Amino acid sequence: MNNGANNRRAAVTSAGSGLAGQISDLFWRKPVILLLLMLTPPLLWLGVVYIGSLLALLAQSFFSIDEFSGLINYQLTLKTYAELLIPANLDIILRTVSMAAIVTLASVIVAFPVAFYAARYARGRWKALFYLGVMLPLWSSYLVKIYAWKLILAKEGILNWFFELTHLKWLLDAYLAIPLIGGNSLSVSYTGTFLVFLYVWLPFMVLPMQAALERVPANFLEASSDLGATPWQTFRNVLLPLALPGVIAGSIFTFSLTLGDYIIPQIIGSSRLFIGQAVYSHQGTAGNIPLAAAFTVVPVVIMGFYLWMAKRKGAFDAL
Amino acid sequence: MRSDHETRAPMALKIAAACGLLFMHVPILLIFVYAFTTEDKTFQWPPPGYTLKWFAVAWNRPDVWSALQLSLKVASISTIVAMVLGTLCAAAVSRSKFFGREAISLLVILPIALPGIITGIALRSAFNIADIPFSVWTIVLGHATFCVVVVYNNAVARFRRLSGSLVEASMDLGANGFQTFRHVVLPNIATSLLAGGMLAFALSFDEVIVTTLTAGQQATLPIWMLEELVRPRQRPVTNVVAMIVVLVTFLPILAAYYLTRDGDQVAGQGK
Amino acid sequence: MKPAVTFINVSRYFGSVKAVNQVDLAIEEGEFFAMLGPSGSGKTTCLRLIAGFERPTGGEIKILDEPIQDIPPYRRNVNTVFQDYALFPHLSVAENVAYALMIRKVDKKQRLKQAEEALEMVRLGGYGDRRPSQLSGGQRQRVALARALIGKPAVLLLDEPLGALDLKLREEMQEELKQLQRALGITFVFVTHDQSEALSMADRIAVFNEGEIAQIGTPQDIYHRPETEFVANFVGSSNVLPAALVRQMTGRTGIASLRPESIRVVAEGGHTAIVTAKSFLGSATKLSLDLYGAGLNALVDNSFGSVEIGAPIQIDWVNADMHLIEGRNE
Repeated sequence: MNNGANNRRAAVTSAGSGLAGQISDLFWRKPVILLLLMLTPPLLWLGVVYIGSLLALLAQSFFSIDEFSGLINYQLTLKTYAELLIPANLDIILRTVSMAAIVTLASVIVAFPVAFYAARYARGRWKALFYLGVMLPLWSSYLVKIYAWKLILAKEGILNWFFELTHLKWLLDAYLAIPLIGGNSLSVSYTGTFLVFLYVWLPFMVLPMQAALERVPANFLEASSDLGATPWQTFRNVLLPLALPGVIAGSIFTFSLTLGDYIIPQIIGSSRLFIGQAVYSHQGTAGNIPLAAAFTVVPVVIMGFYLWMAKRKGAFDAL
Repeated sequence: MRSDHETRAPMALKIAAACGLLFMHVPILLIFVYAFTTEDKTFQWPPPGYTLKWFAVAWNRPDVWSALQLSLKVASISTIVAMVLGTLCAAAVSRSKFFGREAISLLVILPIALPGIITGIALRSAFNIADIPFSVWTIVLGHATFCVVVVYNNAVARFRRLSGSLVEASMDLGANGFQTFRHVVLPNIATSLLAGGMLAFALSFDEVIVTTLTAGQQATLPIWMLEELVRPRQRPVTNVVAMIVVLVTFLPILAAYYLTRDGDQVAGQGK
Repeated sequence: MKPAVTFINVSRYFGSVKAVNQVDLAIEEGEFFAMLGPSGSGKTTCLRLIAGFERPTGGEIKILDEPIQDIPPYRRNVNTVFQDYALFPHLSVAENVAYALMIRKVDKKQRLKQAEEALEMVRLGGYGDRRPSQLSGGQRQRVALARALIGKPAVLLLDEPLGALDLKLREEMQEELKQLQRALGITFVFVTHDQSEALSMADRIAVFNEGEIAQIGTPQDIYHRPETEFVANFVGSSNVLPAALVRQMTGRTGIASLRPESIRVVAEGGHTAIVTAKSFLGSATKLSLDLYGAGLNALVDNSFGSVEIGAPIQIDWVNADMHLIEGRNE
């Protein structure tokens, strides 16, 4: 076939030895060169530009702002962090963390049936449908999703219309009369903010939960019911522990996203600030970059702690 | 194995799952209805009448067009940058076990794991420190940073499936590194790259938090939407734009889904 | 005749793991050579060193007397049949086979013609248009073979080529590989952990253990005259008689190997052993025996009559079948 030399064989073929060949030879002899070439651009971008920016931001949280001139005082101090602890700022942090926790809890409850059904019962076409049914809302425009709730919660919107239609307006009014969670209308209450958070982050909970539940072998559940466990016992003692890594993985998203969001509470909810809004206004109109930076450290610390806990529970296998 | 009696779900579970799905979809569908309403002052439900005229009005709005144009431009450039960086990272990570592999995965995921506002503020203050004026390119810089992860996730999954022996087989048969990349690696990762690119595009097209902080005077479509949300000017136009945005983001997502559905990991899980 | 492959003091370390440790080896041209050993013994690493997928930590590798450790795999006139076949899933069978020619820029018509010839050689004529995923395991293996042979390499490397096939197919392929090798006259080097495969196919065998070659020789040498206890145990699960027993029976020093099939049951005049277990294998019966405290396996034909477990029997063997492994004095 090739040069027909059956009896006279060479150890080395005359494969192309142009420039590409030479470079290729170099990569083979010194694989580390290729590795470095591949890693340099992303590392420059993410490792230098991005991480650099984050560190610069962190550094600024150790500066303070001069109360009279409004200029940044470039002297290392913990004063700005102390400022986080004044009641008004502490309120913001507590409000945000409680909201994140409640949103996370609620999304676990709403996501579970969807994830469980998709993981265990849906087959073939239904499975694909369920998958897309979660993917499409996940990837739908974030602002459009918020906008949709503005429509729903509006005074003349579909929710009020529904309550009027079913003569249950009194129920809604009674609910809105409850302090803290109520308000003038749903769109300016914490409940409204909560609903939008829940809606926007829900798909982020369903997917990892489904992934975790799919890894629970069916015979585990059968074995449990064969042993005479009630469905509730099976759920509590078998399903829940096995689904936990997925729940934690999902909660990383719902928790982190709620902690850092500043658009949802700005558009729907009471006028009280969340961490994201505080960061945004401090860096913007107030020009208090150090305080804004100190505020961003809060979700990072909380998430860092959360991720550390999650890692110990093995949640990352479900991502 | 799953036995037959098990494939029947309890009624309560069916209802709960259906409610969950409805909860996720009804609000989006409502937008579609509102795009056709004749009411232009309030969000009245049910709409008093239906009309197509807002589509014409939106069509003739230059601000919508320029916002759309900017969004497409930013998304395209960010996607290309993210595809290059994400693929390089994925190739490096999957090709050899080197010190710091885990750190690189973490680094790639970080921009999406941290709340968007942190990425946004960090970049904004860095631009200020470095005296870089805000422009399209500062937006692209921000977008590409968090788009890398979706390309990376898709590519890493595919590289993992592309067994190492294929590359070795190609080299064994006389193809040098470049030929192997062109004839074996690229054809095998192409669909996942494309899927990753589509997701990156959708992610960038929709992003608002980082964008507000890295943009100067430029308005992308999401920024335009945000302004309409905070200070509504012409609600029916917003309705129409919202509906179109939903439809436009669905296409790349569906495409990405079909490109990767045979794979072990389907695109988009790491948004 | 110059050797096709030469290893001179070749080592390959992965960190502190000595995958291949100071191996010397010479494979003759036209030889069917087997590298036999348990997993992790370094045989596959040796194959990868020849192909160029690994680079030696030390020593020199030559192909046809040319040093090649600085030559990348794509310039080596060596081709490999991979354990998982490594067929390109995005190419048709014919394109897979013609891949090497495509890289060499042979024109399309010519290379497809050659691919078809190569496929006919492995009895897969007419399969060129299919995808690898549409083929059975045995067919894929033939495609991998055709693909590796189309460039007429100086040496063909086969990594556990029959490992993934079922027993019947494996026996068929063994015969076919041997015929192909004889017809083409190409040096075949194949790696296997299956000693019967190595014994039946190879001209010579290198038995690997812990990164070193325990013994090189013809199948007969390896089987009947194992040089180490490891070889005796690994190849054909020989009985290893402890030094004390050897001294008692022969007066010589060292341990000895004794093949199970060399042991006969005799009516009288042999050594007395106790039957501890027996199992009927069809053509023969396997007996587990206790000979003066040492465990022995014997493979005896079914004509010896009935034995009871726990009962003493008389066994014997031809002295020449008991192979003394020198230098081991436990």
